[in-house]
Amino acid sequence: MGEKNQAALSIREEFAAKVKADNRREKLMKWAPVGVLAALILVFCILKGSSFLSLSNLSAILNQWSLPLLVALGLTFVIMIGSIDLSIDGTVGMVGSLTAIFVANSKNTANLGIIGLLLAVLCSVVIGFLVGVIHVKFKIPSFMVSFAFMNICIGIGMLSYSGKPATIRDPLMMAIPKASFLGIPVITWIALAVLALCFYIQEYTPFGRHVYAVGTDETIPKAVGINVNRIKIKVFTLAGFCYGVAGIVGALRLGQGQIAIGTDQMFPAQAAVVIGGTALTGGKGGVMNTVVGTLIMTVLINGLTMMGVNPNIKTGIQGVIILIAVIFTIKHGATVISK
Amino acid sequence: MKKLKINKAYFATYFSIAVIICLMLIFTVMEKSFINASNINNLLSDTAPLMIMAAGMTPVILLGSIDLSIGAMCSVSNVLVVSLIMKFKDTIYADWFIMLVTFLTTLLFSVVGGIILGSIHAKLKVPSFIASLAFMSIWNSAALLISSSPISIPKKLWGTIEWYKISIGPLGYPLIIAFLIMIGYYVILTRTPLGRGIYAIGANERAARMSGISVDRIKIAVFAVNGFCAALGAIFLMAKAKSCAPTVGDSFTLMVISAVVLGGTALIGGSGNILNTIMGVFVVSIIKNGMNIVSINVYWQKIVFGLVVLIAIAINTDRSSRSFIVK
Repeated sequence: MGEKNQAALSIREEFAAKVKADNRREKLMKWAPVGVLAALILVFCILKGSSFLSLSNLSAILNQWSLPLLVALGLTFVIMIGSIDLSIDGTVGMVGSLTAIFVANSKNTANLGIIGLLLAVLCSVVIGFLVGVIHVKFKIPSFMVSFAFMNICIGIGMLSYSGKPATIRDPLMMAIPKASFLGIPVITWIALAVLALCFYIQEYTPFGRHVYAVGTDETIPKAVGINVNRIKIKVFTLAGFCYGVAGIVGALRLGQGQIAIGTDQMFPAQAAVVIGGTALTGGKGGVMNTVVGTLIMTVLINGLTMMGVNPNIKTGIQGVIILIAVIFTIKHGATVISK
Repeated sequence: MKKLKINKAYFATYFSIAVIICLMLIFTVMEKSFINASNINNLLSDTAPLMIMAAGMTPVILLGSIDLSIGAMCSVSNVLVVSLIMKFKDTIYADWFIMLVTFLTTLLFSVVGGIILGSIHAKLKVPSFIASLAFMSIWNSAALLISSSPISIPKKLWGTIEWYKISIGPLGYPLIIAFLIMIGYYVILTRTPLGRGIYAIGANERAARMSGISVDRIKIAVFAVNGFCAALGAIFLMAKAKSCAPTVGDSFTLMVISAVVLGGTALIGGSGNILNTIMGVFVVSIIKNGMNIVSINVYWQKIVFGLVVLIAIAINTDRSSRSFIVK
């Protein structure tokens, strides 16, 4: 009898120890990105010292941070439901191109002002909605739908200005990228506003809770009667909105509407989301993880540029980062099936 | 049940042939020069690189995996082969020897690249689309690092790439090589344990593993061959253009996937016939050639291929089981 008790006790202890170890590991994983960020800042401070910490460079970092943050915010929700969105390069570039055509510009007589911006965002919202609907209704994997839409959007964007990019002439729009408020560029404020919106959606709306549920195990919310398909479509639409704002910010900053605004936006965003701790399998992570992830990527790129690293290496480095981050966060083992 | 399967297998073939005929008719009506001999010749020789890459991609998709890095691999091989040629062109070795060595080096490089990608996917369990996406950025970067601008092959070496122009009847040498690779792969897929293993893994990986198929090794082999095919396609592109460019492969990823899916190979894996991929390749290259001939804005091509791949997948996807979860 006593032996049995002993055995039960040891099993219980073992279980408790396992839970404890798991908790510790989870805590470590949770704070690892912050550690990486701190380490990066430290390294660049030591290597570059005052020029890295100078006010102008910090302002530049905030400015550079805004676009990846906007893109990554949208992508976060998509990855949280376990899907993926490869359309970013196209969508952001398309909205950037359309923005310059809708507002007062050098190419046509359109002068829609703020309405033009809204129209441009609406385009990417519609694209996001379409990606979601086709993914859900035709049961095509999201990476394939979004990959196709990346190409479609690049085509639309290039067609819209057909070779000669339009320059923005609207005085208000031209002033925005130079303006700053409380020492922080207005463009960064725009990104922060979208960040606040996304954080609110994630934490305080039923939709935000459902996103986690769908990402963890789709069958459970389905069984409870949540319309999983509608959640997924909403997620892609929200992502489209974020990419749209990113496209506008990109166009305003460049002062011109080009498809190149979107080029190479996807890898930093993908890397930022994954490195921030949002697992590709879904159900984990969130908006705040992405904030840390995008800061890591921005500081890294900024630092590398200051060190004079060949810009062509940058995309390669992002690919390696994605690989390493995914390898560390993904489930391994003989029984796991990955396609 | 069996009857239904056979019907479906034929459906893809008939459907592709019907599409090809319709497309040819439409383009001929729009522009008469589409059907003349020189354009048909052009079309057939342009098809070779695409055909080879599609041959490599079909087994990858049969596994249920995907390789988004194929275009980037093509770019990097394309740049690599020309930069190697430029490096060795002034040495004492004979021209044909230089060509042979550079070709073999490039092919070896791409096979090793494929093995690395396959290993990361199979051994470390990283989903193939994300692993290959990362490799896409790595190869793109590598291509730009090797040469950030196009390089032309010097005139004195043109003689060594004349083989590209040799043709037997209407079929050029490159296209014949592409067909041979297709047929070779068809034999492997249908007549050897390796091929049956590929289908088995695509249909049900767990069952395949339990029945003793070395899943990881097969996956790595398939990715290695895929890399090889991308590099061979790149060499053909080099021979055709007599130059290289670090972005030459960009548009191929979507075209190759379109061709394979149009050939009736299901994205979830386990079903499809590589010979049907030939039909898919012709559909894609007729669309591409036709749009050039009727001088449709080149930007439209991206839109059209995006739509084509979506429609092809939508037609081919089995939506019968409601519980099937797609991520």
